[in-house]
Amino acid sequence: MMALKIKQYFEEAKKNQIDPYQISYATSTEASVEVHNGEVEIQQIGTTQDISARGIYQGKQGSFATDCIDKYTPSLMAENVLQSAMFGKEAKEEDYFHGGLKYKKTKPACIKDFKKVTLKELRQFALDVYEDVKSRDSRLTKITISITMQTSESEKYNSYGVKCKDQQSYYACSISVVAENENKEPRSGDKGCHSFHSLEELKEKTKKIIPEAISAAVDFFGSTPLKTQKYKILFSRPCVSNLLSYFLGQLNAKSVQQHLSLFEGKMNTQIVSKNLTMKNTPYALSFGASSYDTDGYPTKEFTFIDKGVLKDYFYSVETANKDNRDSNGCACGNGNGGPIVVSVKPGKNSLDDLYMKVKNGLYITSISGLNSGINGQTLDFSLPCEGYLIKDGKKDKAFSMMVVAGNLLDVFNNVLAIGNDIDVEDGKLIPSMVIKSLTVSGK
Amino acid sequence: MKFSKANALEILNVGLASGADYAEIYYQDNRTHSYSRRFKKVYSVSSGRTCGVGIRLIKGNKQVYGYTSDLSKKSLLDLASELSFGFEGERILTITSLKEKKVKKAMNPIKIPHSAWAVDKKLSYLEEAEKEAFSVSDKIQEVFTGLFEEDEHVEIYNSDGVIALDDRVRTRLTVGAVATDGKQFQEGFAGPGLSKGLELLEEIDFKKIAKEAASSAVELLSAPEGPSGEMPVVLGNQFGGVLFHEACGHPLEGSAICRNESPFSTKLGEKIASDVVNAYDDGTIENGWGSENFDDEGNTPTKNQLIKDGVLVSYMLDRYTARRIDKGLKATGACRRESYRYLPTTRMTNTYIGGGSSTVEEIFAHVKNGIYCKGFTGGQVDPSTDQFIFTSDVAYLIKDGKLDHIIKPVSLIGYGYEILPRIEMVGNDCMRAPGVCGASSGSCFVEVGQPTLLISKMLVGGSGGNE
Repeated sequence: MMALKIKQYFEEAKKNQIDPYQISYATSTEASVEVHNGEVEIQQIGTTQDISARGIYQGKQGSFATDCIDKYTPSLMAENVLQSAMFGKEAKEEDYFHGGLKYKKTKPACIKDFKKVTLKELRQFALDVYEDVKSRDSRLTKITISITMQTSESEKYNSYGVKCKDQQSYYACSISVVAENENKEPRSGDKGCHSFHSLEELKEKTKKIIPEAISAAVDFFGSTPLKTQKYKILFSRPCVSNLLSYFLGQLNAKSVQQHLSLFEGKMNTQIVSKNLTMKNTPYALSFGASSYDTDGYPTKEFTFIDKGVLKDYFYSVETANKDNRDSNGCACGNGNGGPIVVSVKPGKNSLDDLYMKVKNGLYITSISGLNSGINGQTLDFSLPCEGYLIKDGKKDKAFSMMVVAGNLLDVFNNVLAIGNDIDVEDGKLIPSMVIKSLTVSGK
Repeated sequence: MKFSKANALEILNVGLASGADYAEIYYQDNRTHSYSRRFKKVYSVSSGRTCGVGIRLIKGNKQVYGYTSDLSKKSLLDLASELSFGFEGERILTITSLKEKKVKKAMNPIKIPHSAWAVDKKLSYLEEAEKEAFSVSDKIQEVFTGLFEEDEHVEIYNSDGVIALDDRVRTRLTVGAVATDGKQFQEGFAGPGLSKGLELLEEIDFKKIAKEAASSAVELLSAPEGPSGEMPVVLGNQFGGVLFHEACGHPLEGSAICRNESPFSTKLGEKIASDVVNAYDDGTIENGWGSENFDDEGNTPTKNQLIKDGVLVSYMLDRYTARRIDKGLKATGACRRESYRYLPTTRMTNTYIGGGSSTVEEIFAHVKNGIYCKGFTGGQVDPSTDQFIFTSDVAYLIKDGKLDHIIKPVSLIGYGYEILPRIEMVGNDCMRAPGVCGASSGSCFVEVGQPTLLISKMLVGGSGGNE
């Protein structure tokens, strides 16, 4: 990889009268192995570098991004930023972070461990997991194990002297199985886990998820839809995480300023259940953790929903200026704001406690169709789901091929109980949750 | 060409050192420009360039893949060498020559290249579309318009001695509208796109398209919740083809077939759909959104009939999946990837159900109580079980053979192998629409398509229940 000569980039910007100017640079190294039915089918290695720039020329902003970095890149970037700025969005100098604040470091826990691990070790680990999974259930007909390790480093600079760096590394394991019963009915199941610490920790975590991956397939043999009606629902962590992603989009300060948010004018009012408290925790060990946002502004920990009351939107420097306040370090591109890492305050309930809270209802373990089944504007959703019936406070038979539908505002306004099972799900720290009532369609 | 023949041969031969029986270099140089308007002014003008190399080695049923954005010869030789360590064995193949594969007929002739127009002319189309959308109703709160341009150059060098060069040009206009009645927001969207240059903007009625997107958003404000439960469903033409894409297309991709992970894995030559169903993956459609002169491993695209009169007659295959199935099957020209960062695999190109003989009126007349799904936002499928979902964002109730009223978006779910035999009627109004399909080799541009179809029974998930 070519060392980044950052000074040249700013010189080229200056030549083209682009001011201010911001450069973001990232490198990434990935290695992965996929074992299918005992054979190492795919091994992959990759290294990339990406650079992007934005800047203002005569009051308008332009941008450019590329992964092609050579001696011509500094001038190429400045020329392209200039070209797009000539017709671009109106922008102000003050919408760029002027620096002067300190950055708190995140914890890149497995960087050292990462350098010691070889592709051969990943191959052996994947084969070991395969053998372990295979030995547990004779009904498994297909088993795919993927092991990935990835490390990335990012840097950001701007012409006001902002300079910040961060890095993140992780290991991940994914287990996908297909099982067949005596009627040759296929069922698939999958489960994943990760470690930000070491391959050894990933191995320990993997042992725990193997039974869960198998259950996700074999428990659903013969499962059918249940009766269409309103049910009290326990959503699993992954389901809560998926639903929450769309809900949080409404707290983007830019959407609020553009009158496109359902939460405009709702500051310091109850917007969701009193049982819900949510924080932005950018230094937590999670995917997406970062000490700075896309403006280069330092991220910070803060509570944005406190016992159901809205305490803050997610701001960039641009939207903060419009509201005459400071950014809260949540910029995620083009002036938009979003949480860096969301942490939902866990409850004290174990999963068994949550079954009891539901007493009679559904435990939805999986929802799908998110790319098309949720309207991010209205928060209406209609999603296929599967999981288990909860009968008399206990997990009962599995169901599948049902559709859960409603509005996310109703979901998060009707949280009856929260689990103590908090864990990282897709860049969020999430527990399971019991919801009062939703229509679930089946028979 | 990016690489001299001598350099390409050297890299390929380094990759083949430990017994690989196939080696391939994929070079991509992709340039995009995006223009958008929001809030009645220019929202963004941006551009980007993705440029890198992926090297793939295959030995038997095992693939090793590496990618880098460092294009120096040393970097690529190092990568090829490192990848070769993925195999243990002696060299079985040395490549001595490479020859450029000629394009028989240019798949995507371009009339107006992206560089031909000034930026303000392009933006003027967006402004016009925006005005049209706002003119529909004072309930339109926001209109966002966009123009996407892609100019991609791809080079493939492989150990069959082939060099395949392709230039791909794509243009897409998008119009989204948000309507509000003060209590709720609803969205409408339209996004025509083709493998064409800027002539697309001159050929489509973009004002009408903008109005339709806005009208759809306004209409949804007064829509009651949709029903739920099993009922007859009429799927509209054009983007209704997402049904076939999800329910049948993905399970017919070689990646699912070769691992025996599809319900259709052992069904070649068998009846899988009703007699009225004929389906195709056709990478040869001129200017099709999913058409390319060569696929991403250098194969020439084909018009591949998948289902003939209800019988499964072909799969979609790439080099690797064809070899894994091991029945003498050949690649069908549908090996694709989003970028050099992805291991390529079989993906759909332009996939559709062919036209039938029924008129749309005849199809509606067959439905006493059901729904008509006209617009779709997309969907997904689990290829191992063939369970699919797709969401209709523009749907109507049908009562006594006639359209009754619009309803809020509903999901349709089911298993492809169950739905295909339930296609009772096929309309004579086949049309196609562009989309973006996400799968293991990233996001690829595809067309979906079909005529109006009647499905005798489907599970519908609306919020209105079945009372």
